[in-house]
Amino acid sequence: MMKKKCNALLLILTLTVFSAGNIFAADAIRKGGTLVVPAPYGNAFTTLDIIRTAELNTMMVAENIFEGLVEYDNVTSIPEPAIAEKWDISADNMVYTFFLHKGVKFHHGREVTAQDFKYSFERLANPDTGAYNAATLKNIKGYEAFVNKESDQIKGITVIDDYTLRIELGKPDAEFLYQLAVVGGGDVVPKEEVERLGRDFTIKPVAAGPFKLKSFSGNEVVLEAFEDYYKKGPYIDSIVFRPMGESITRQAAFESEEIDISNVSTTQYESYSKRYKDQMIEVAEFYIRLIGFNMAMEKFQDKRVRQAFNYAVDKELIVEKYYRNKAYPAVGRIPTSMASFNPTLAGYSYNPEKAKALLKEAGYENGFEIEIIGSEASTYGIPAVEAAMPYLAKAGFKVKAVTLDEGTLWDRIVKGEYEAFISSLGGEPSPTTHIGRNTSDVSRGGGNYTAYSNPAMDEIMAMANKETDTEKRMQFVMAAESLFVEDPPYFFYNYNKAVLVSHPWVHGLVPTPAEIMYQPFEKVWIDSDSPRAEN
Amino acid sequence: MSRIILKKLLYFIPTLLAASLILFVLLSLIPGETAFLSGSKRKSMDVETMERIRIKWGLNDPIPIRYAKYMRNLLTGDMGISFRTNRKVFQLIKERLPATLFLVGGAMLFAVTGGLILGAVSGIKEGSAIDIASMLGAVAGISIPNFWLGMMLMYFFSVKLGWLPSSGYGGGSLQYLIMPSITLGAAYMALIARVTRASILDAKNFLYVQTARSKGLSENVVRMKHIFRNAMIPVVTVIGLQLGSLLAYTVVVEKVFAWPGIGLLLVNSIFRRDVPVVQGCVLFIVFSFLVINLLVDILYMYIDPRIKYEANRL
Repeated sequence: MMKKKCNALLLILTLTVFSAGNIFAADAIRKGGTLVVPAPYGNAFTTLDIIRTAELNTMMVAENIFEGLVEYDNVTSIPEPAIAEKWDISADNMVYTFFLHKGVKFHHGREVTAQDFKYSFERLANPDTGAYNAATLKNIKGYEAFVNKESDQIKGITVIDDYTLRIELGKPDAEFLYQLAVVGGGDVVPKEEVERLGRDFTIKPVAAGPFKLKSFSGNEVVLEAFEDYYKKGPYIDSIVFRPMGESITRQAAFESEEIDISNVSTTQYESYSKRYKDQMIEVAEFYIRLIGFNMAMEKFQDKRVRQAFNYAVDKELIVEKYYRNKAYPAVGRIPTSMASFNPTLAGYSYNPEKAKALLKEAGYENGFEIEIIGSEASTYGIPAVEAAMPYLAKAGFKVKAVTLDEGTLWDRIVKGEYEAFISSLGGEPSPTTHIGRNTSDVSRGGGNYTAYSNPAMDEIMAMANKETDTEKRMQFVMAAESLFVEDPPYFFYNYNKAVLVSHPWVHGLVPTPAEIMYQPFEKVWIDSDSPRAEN
Repeated sequence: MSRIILKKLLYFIPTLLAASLILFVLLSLIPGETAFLSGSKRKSMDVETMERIRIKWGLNDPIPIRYAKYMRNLLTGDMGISFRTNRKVFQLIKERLPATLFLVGGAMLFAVTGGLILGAVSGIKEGSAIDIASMLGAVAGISIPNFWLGMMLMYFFSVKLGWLPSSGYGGGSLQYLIMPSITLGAAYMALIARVTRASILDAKNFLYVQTARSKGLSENVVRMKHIFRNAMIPVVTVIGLQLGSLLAYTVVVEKVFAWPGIGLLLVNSIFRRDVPVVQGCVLFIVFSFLVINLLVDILYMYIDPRIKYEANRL
């Protein structure tokens, strides 16, 4: 409990929360009404199958329908009890025993038991399911044998009784709970409904979350409150999700009060900050925009070149002028809102003289040629490189920027066919993953995009992965990050500032750094000023 | 007549086959890993999981085998399963089709009626104030980018006046259709108006018009029977040809108005390398083009019997 408090404190310090009014509303909670929410990551809904897609629009809707053993606290991103009301972890961190809430119901009325979790985990891992998230379970004992079809069940998962589930790991994983809490990572589904509905389960999911599906179409998903939900809430009767991929569309819909909340784009941020000053929530998302150097190439072996790149750019000014303050200049690899963020890390401040000197020392007095590939995305693609180009030129970097479509871009990044690339990385709430992806045993496709290798850092991360004490583990991650930043395979550009705007009648929204649209809608309520307060 | 139609229908088969083959090869050659890209915003996946997904979708087979499998399924009416969503491609297209047809139909209705009326009036009253105004409007209609027009309509009619819903499909209710179809149809309408006007001006000067007038026919009969009917051939050609590009432009309008149509399904699937969906959508579009062409051909024969005569002789 103490640890949680510490973490929460740290987060309150580091999160930039503009609107406290929304969170600490003193009014009594009002029940009823409909909330209309835009799904901003695409213009249609295609599926609600949370494990067989990684479409963000699907995830933000489906996370309200599904429920697992544990779930992230929306603000602190620490795994909290969900259907598992408590758990024991063995001293060696290898055996997890989960004790389930009694009386938790599926949407079709049956009680959730430990057996359902075993079924759901095996369904997730089964290669015939084709789940993109299957690897969240890979540290469980017997996972390999199961996916290779040498065994008909995952040996490490044992049902002790209806309300007790034991999971034995095959190798130590200090953040196993984080894996289970990932959206689509460990949700429970009823076997009989999955089998009855077959492929239709993708658009008629039955689970145990706070909302159940009322209707699905490409253009609108309607969820209604699940009256037998085992926790408090939901307070609203229903949520309507409408896909709206364009910020201009969301703007028109928000201003004409057709939607109740909206995420805010860079172009809207300035005017919204003035118009809706008290109705905005801001947070540094778990994403970082950066430029990666291909460490397999001879020209990047000298770390002075990469350091020079980091010193060359005035990030502060670019964030102010180009990003119009809808970003935070990056210090290192870990965003400010993470528990493993190191507030004492110095990073690289703008120093053109030092950049030039470092390049000269490295033997590139007459300039260093570099080709950067990226997408057309304005905040994490080639336009963002172009914003930095004058600075880079001044320091002696001769940049050639090449725009590619995302598919080609990622094909080349994963195959290592590039000199440098720009993108936005991250998203995982687990505080060790961001650095952990860069150890030398991880493939490019697995997240070590630059093929980075730093034996000293590898060693520290190996200790972090074994450490069960959260505080100590964070210390290890911070130590690893300082090595990473000192010998940087990336230019650490900036963190995304996610902004959510809402009409004044919406209450209970919170700054969620994992993804601003992952709101705890079961805790949200609307007052009588809403045009949809009654239906 | 039915013989001509049947012959044209037979041409559909090789066209569709060729289109599907070219598409399949192209999609297999462009860089981009389907299994990886389906991972969306979080861009990493462990090697083993990716490999298992590749095996599940049959992506490790050589291209000819994959094509053969695809065609075998297609012939039994199975368009495959979408990698990105794990749903049947046919279902995905079926869900989007009404929205697309509704939008294209609305835009066409707006463009054809508006274009014919404006064009005819300007053609008959050449040089009048109406003529000048409508042709200025036509130039504007062609030059204004449709996403901008869409945004302006949205701003005035939804945000400022609150008359129309700003976006969405609304399950097919008319008030949702008005702004998207004007946006999509504006350029199309302008084009039809200009072509109508030009061909009426041409037809006006033909000798048979003079003959009709000198026979003492009333001005209305001359206009309807002699000028309009003869002026219609180029207009029908333009309407037919442009209907195809209307399908292509839906993407932009779908984006601005969050309209759940085929265009965006196609574009998003291309970016994610969701090959079965791309295949399905493109085949559908090729098929629509063929049908539209066929309809235009039939319409020609109706308007100008000489064409039917020529076709029958072939």
